[in-house]
Amino acid sequence: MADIALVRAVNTPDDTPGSEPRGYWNTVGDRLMHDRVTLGVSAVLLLIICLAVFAPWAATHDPLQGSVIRRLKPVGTPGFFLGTDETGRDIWSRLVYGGRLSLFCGIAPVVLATMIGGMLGLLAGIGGRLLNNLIMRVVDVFYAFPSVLLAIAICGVIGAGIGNTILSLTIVFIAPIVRVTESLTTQVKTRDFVEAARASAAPLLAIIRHQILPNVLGGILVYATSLVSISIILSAGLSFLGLGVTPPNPEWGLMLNALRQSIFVNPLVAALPGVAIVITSLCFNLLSDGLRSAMDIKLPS
Amino acid sequence: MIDRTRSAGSDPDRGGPAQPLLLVRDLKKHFPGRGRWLGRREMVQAVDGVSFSLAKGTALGVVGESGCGKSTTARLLVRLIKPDDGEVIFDGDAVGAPQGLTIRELRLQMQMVFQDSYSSLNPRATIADIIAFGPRTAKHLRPLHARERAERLLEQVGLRPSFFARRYPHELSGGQRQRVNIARALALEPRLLILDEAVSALDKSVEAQILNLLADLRRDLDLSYIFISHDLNVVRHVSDRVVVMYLGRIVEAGSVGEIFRRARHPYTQALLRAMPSMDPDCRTAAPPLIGDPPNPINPPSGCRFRTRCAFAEEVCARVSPRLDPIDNQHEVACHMAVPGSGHSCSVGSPDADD
Amino acid sequence: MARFVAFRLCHTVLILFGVSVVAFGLIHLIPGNPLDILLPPEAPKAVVDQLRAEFGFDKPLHVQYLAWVGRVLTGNLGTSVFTGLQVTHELLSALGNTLVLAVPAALLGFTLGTTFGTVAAFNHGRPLDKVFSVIAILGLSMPHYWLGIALVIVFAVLWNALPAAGMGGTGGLPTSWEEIQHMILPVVTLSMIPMGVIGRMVRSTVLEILSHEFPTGLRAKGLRSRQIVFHVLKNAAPPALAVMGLQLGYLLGGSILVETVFNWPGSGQFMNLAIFRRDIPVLQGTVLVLASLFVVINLLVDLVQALIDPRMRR
Repeated sequence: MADIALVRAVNTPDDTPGSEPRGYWNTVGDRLMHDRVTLGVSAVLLLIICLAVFAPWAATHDPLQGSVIRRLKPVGTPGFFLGTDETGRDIWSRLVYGGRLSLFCGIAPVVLATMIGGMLGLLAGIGGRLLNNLIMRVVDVFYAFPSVLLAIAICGVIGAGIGNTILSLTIVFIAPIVRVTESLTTQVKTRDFVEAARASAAPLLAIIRHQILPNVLGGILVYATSLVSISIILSAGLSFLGLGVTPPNPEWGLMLNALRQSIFVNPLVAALPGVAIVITSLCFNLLSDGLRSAMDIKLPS
Repeated sequence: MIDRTRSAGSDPDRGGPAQPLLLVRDLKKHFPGRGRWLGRREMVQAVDGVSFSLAKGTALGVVGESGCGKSTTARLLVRLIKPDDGEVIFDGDAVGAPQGLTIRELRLQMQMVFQDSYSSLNPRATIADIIAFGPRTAKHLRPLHARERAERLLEQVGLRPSFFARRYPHELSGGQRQRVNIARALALEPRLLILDEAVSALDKSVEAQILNLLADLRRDLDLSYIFISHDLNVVRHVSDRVVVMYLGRIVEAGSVGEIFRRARHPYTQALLRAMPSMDPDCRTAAPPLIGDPPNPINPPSGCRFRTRCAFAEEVCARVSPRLDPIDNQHEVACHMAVPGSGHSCSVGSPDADD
Repeated sequence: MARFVAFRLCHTVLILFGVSVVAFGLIHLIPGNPLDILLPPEAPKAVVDQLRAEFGFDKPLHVQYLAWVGRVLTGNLGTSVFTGLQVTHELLSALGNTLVLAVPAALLGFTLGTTFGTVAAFNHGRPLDKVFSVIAILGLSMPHYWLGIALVIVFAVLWNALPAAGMGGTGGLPTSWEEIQHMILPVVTLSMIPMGVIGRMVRSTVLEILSHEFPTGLRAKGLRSRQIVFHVLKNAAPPALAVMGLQLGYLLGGSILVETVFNWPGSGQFMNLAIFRRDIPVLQGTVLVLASLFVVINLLVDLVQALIDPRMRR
C-alpha cells in the first residue's frame, strides 16, 4: 500500500509533445505529398483527364472527319503531328477525344461496382451467417468466371455500345469488390473498439457509420483504384473485339483494332493508342500502390 | 476532483440499499468446439454455472488464470455474448425477462472498460468523438451536449480537454488511452463498471495512477465495480470481495480479508503462494501448482481442480463440489470444507485433524 | 484433411451448378426471342413454331435447363447452329490449340516471375529491385493484346524474323520448327501478365518472410545462402501457388484477345466467332467449359495448398 500512496502525488499524466493533432486522413495526405512517384503519377493523370475533358480545345482537328488522300500519314507530318489513321483522321485528335470514352468506360464501372459491391460486402460482413453465406456463395459463382470471359460473354449477349459495356464491366467487378469489402468488414468487426461500441447500446447504423465504415473505406479505395487500371484495359479490349464502343466513335481500344490492319504500312501510328492505354493504366496502378503505402502507417501501439 | 456529474436523467436507485446491485445465478456458456460435423459436437465449457452477487457501492474482484472464463463472464454480463443458461438480475430487475430490463436498458447502467490495447479505441476518431459516441447515439444527446459531457469526463479522468479532445488514439500513451477507455465507459452514466484486465497492459507506475483514479471515481460517482484480473496484488488493493474462478466455475468467494488471509480452497492457496514475495526469506523454489490447466473441452469429472490438487481423493472425482458457505460471506467449493462430504479432511470425518 | 477435401468438393459442386445456371441463362438475356436471331423476321409462323419445338424453346425455362444439363453431362454440348458440327468436338480441338499456347505461356511467366521476384526481394532497395518493379508494373498495366501487336510490328514487320499470325500447321501440338516459330510471339505475349502478377506477388511475399526473424536465425545457424533461399521459397510457395492457379485459369479463359491478334484458332477465337454469328449452343457450351475448367483448377490449387500448408485446412 505504501508504494501506491507514494505514487498518488504524481497523479498527473505526461503530455505528449505539443503538436497539432493529425487525423488519419491528414497523415495519409502528408505522406502522399512526400511521395514523389505518386505525385508525378497524379500530375500525369490530371493532365490526361484535362485533355479528355477539354478535348474540343486540345484537339487540332475534327476526330470524325477523314480524307482519303491523307490516309496513314506518319508521325511528324505537318499539321498532323501524330499522323493519321486508315481513313485519314488525325490521330492526336482522336486520341484526345478517345480519352473521354476510354476514361469514362474505365472509371464508371468501377464507381458503380464499388457502390453496389461495397454495400453488399458490408451487409455480408455485418449480417449473420445466413446472410453472409447467401451473398458470398453467389459471389463465388461469379468469381468462378475469369473476368475477361465474363465480360465478353455478357457483352456478346446483350450487344455492343457504351451502356452495355459499362453494364457488363460493372457486373464483372462487383464480385471482387464484395469479397474485399466483406473481408475488411469482418476484420474490423472483431476489433475491440467495435465491441466497445456495441456494449454502449448504440444503434447498429451508428456503429456502421462511425466505427466500421471509416476503417474500411481506405482499403476499398486502394482496391478500387487498382481496378480502374484493369477496367481501362478491359473496356479497350472489348472495343478491340468489336463488343464495346462502336465505330466511328473514337476510343483507344477501337482505334487499336482498326489500325491493326495498317501495321504493315505505318507501324508506329498503329501502336499509339496502345501507348495511351498503357500510360493511363500505369498511372492508376502506381496511384493505387502509392495510396496503399501511404495508408499502411504502422502506428505506434 | 469531487464533482458529482450524475445528471437528473440517470436511473434512480430502484431496489434500495439492501438489494444487491447485481445478482448472477448459474450463468452458463458453452462454445461449440471444432469437433466432428456428424454426431455430437465438442463443447468448450467456458462458463459453467457461475453465481455471485454484488452489493451496491462495492467492488468485486474476479481472479483466475488465463482461460478460466473471467473474460467470457464479463462479456456475458454486458450481453456481448448471449448466455446459454442462467439469469442476471440487475437491481431487482431480471435481464431479458418480459417485465425486466431490456439489454439496452442494462447497457445504459452497466458499462465495460476494456484492456488497453491499441485496438480498443477507433483509430480514425478523435478522443472527444470516441467518448461522445455513446451519449450521442444511444442517448440521442445533441452533438454539442455530448461534446461538453466528453470534455467534462476528460477532466475527471485527469486529461486536459483543451489538449486531448482533438487528439487521435495513436498519439496517446498506454496510460492515457486507458483513461480514455474509462471516460468512455462513464459517458453513459452507468452504475456498474466492469473492468476486464483494465490495468494488465500498463507499466507498474501507470497502473498505480489508474488504480488511484478508479478509487476516486468510485467514491465521487457512487459506482460499483467488478474488477477482473489475474494479478492478485491489484485485486487485493481494489476489491471489497473476491471471487476465484477455475475452468469456468467459481471455487471460492469471500471478502478480501478472508480470501487473502484465510483461503480454504487449495487452488486459492496455491495462487496466493505463487505471488512473488519481496521478502527474501519467503521465497520458495517449489512451484505451488503442478501440471497444466486441463482442457476446457474435456474437463475432469467431479471437481475440476482435482488433477492438480495435492488433496484429491476418490470422492472428488465422483461428486462435483458445490459452492457452500462455510462462514459469514465466505463460500468454498471443496469437499474438504464441507462436513460429511466423504473427504478424509472434512470436518466430521474421523480422520480430520481440524 | 479429409473433412476439408469433402467440404471443398461440395462447395465446388455448388459453384459448378451456379456456373451452369449462368451459362444457360446467358442467352436469355438477349432482348427478344432467341429464335429471332436464327431466323429472318419474315419467316412463316409454321417454321418458327417448328424450330421452337425443335430447340425446346416452347418449354418452361427450368425444363429447358434440366434437358440441357442432362445432355451436357453425357458430353453432348449441342450442335452449332452455324456449322452444323458437334460443339463438343469443335470446342475440344479449339481448346487444345489454346492449351498449346497457354501452358508454355504459364510456365514461362511463372518461372520468369518467380525468378525476378525472388531476385528483386533479395536485392531490396538496390537498383535491381527498382528495375524489376518497373518491369513488373509495366507488365500489369499493358493490354497484352497491344503488346502482341507491338511484338508483331517489331519481329514480323520491321525485322521479318517471325510470322505475324496463324498457327502455321494444322493444329494440335507443334511438330515442326515452322509451327514453333508461329508459337513464339503469342506465347511471349501471353506470358507477360502472369509474369508481372506472379513477380510482384513473389517479391512482396518473400520480402515479408525476410522481414521475419527466422532467415536471420538460419544464417546465424550457419546455413549457406542457397539453402536459406530454398527455405524462404518453401514458405512463399503456398500463396504463390494459389495465384498461379488463378493465372492459369485466366490464361485459358482470357486468351481470346491474343488469339484474335494472332489469328490463332483456339477456344477464344471459337467463342468470338460464336458471338458474332449468334451461335447460341456454341456460346453456351464454351462459356460452360471454360468456366468449369477455371473452377476445377482453383479446386486443385486449393487442395495442393492445403497439402503443403496445414494452416489452410479450415
